[in-house]
Amino acid sequence: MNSPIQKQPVLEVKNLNVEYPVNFRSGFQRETKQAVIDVSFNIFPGECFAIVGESGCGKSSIIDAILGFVQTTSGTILFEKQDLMKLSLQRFRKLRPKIQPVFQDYNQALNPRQRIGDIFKETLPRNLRESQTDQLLTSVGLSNEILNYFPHQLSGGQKQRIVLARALSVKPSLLLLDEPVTSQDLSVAVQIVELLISLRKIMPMTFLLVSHNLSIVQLLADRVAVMKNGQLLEQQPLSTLLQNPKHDYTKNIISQTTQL
Amino acid sequence: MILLSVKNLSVQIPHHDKAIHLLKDISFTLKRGETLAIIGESGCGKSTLCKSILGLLPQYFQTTGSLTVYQNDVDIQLHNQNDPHFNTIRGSNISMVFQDAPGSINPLFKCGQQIVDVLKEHASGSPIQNKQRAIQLIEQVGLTDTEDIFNKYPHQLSGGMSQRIALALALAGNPDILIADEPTSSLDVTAKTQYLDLLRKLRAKNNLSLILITHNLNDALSFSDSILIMYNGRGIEYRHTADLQQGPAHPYTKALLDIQTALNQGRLPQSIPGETPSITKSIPGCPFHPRCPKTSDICRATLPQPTFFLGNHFVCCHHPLKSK
Repeated sequence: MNSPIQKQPVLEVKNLNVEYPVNFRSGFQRETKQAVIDVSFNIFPGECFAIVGESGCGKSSIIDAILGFVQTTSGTILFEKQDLMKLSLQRFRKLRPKIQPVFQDYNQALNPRQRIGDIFKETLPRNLRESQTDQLLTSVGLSNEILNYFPHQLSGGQKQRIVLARALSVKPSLLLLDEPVTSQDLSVAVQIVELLISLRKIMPMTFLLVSHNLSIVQLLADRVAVMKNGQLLEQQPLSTLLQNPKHDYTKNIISQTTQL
Repeated sequence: MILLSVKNLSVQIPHHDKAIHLLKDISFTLKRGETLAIIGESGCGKSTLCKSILGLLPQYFQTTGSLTVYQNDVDIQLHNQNDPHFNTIRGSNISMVFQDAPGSINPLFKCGQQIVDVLKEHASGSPIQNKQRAIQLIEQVGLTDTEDIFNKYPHQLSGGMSQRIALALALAGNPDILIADEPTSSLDVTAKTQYLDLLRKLRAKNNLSLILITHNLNDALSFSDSILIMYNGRGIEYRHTADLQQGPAHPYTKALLDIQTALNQGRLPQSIPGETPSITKSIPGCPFHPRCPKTSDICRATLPQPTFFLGNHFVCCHHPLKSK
């Protein structure tokens, strides 16, 4: 595992709060549900920071907030020292390619009517397209035969690799991995994890990994935060968390993961 | 007592001037109270197998082989997917919780009403009795606040709760066999453990036979009595769970077990090289040979026939590993 190289964090999340409106029936009174409550963490360059927690605990809301998909209620998100919430739309759009998501549902992440080759036409400059596409496909373990295929002609593992290659094509400095292997078969999941580990070795990559599967997280993460009901219960280096979990909930997750 | 016997079941669909074989020569038996886990990668035919047992495949799917359901000492032979006998066994003998359980519940009707509708079909109770039984079922699947849930629409429930409502719907016909298709794949660790505990309780209480389709080896090993490993539409190893854990005979099973053991120990496992083959491509010889470390000329040329262990358990491999 790579260790943090510099002290300056790539991403700083401070006292983040996200809430969603619920129950529109109650007339003028707008009821809300707090999905993320006062969450703070830093991610350093070259690091893989993971957030673990059960479904609905607010993990994906954090990712959505970083990507600007949801409005935050309060708090700050500093990416490369710039407050994402205070940026103008134009500046945010310019900065946004540096943060790339890889979502759980690879089927919905790819346009079913677009050939794989056309995906890279959108992201790569024309003069370098051919060589860079080849390079990208090789880095994710695919051959360029695949460029003429539509997504439905690919297996789940191949689709997830394409999603990863697309994210890498704009040379992001932060990759947001939202349950990247949850819907994959065991053997494919292991291949994707191996791929992510090898990518971290060949290019400087910072990951924010979100998952409910601790057995996958422990293969990739340097530091892990445990989340429950919208709050971060604890965040520690992986080995410390596994050996000395502070919270009962963390102990519970670890015991459920390791039992055969 | 055997409840279900599947012998050489094959399913194919016509494709241009060829046929695509979705299932090839699948055989297994299921006894009362037994849990069979079916394991395999996506697209290997697990769900097709279970749908064929319930007669839910579309009409253009051609099935061959025999499917026998034993009901009160009467054997019901099911010859094809249009067999009228399926209507009598579906729900009351065999029922199924589908992979996308929340999606399998009708979003336009209240949960309780949907359970009552199933009860009307399978039991001859009065409306009040049916409502009481529906509330009982909601309670049985581990949900509290039963009256409230009875009157809720599916979208008002969480993923775990709708999974349980789907289970209540499947149990409403009081079946002998329950097929659970990837019941826990969308649940997190805590919800998954709770759901499996619930299945364990129901299995003991109702003396249910279970067919658990999963790609999670941990669940299968901890939960089942026997395991059928599928690859590319074929059953490649069918063993008692304890035997399989001690010594898998097929290299694919061993690779899966090694991956799971490494993950449980927090190590990076050795992945299986290559890609899962598409079901539309026919592979000469053993379907696993392009990824197998023990491949030889015979593997590339000839399809391995089953080598039988005790009973009807088998492995299909030219070079089986030594197993206990």
